[in-house]
Amino acid sequence: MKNSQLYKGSLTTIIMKLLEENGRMYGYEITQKVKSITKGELNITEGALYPALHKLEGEGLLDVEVEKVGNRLRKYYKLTEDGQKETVNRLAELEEFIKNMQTLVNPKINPDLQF
Amino acid sequence: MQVTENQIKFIDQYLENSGVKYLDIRYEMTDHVATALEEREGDFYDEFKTYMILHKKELLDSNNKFSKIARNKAIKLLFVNLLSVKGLLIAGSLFGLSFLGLNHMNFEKIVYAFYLTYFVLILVITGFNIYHKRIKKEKLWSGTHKLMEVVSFIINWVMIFGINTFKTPEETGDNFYFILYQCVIVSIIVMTIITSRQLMKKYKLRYEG
Repeated sequence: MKNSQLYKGSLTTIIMKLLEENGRMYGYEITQKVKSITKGELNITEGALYPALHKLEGEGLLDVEVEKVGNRLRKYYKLTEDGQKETVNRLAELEEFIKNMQTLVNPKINPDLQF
Repeated sequence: MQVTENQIKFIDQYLENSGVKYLDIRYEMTDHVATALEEREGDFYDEFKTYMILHKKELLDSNNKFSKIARNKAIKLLFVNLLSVKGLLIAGSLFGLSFLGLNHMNFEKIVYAFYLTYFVLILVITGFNIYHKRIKKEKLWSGTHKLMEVVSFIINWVMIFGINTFKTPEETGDNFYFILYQCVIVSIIVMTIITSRQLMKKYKLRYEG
């Protein structure tokens, strides 16, 4: 993943946001969706994506559905009820984080915080 | 390109040979690799080789992390089961029976009964494994296998520790603690078998319908 240290902490929130918008998705689909939204700037690797998905599943935030697609099984992920509530919280936290970062990196944008 | 049934088997076999031993992990990885290859044009084996050169490390990394998460989930389920009504009833009944047994037989016989119980339980676990692996030719599921691995490892060490600690319990008056200790171990083994069956049913329902 590009700039992995910066994105790492937000990966689960990115996944949850995508699932909130798309209903249910499978692993490869998530990587491609992120790639297409960010116009190729952000690539989620298998080593980062699947552990994040399994962790969220373990926490009861994601539910799994397995379906036969063509000649193989495909595992779809979707948000549970708790996952939907948690997505709202995490997105709010992330937005707050981005706002604070913007203030820190570019203080001129927020005149209230200028000395 | 369209990935055929035989090519799916090839991907699965390749992943298994590369150390991805659990079927539930391989199902997901095989689909991931096959979907990625289907977006490419050209010869399957050339594309597969190129894909693996770039992504094998990530896939194996994901496999290791998945195994750890599956292990933690299985252990959590074991604890939930141990603290459930069924788990507490098993431990309590075992403890009560052992104490009642003390009125009818001497302590050595109680110790013997415990070790006999271990022997029977180990036979049950071995039989369970042989039945699923050799007779039903089933592959390994991550949570079930990891749980068995962890509990077997802990029980082996606990038993070695127990044999040394409670060698002469009558002399030290440790009967109560000895029985409590053995009941906890036997309960863990019994609940491990129950949890493994529970997990296996869940995997089969999820992946085999």
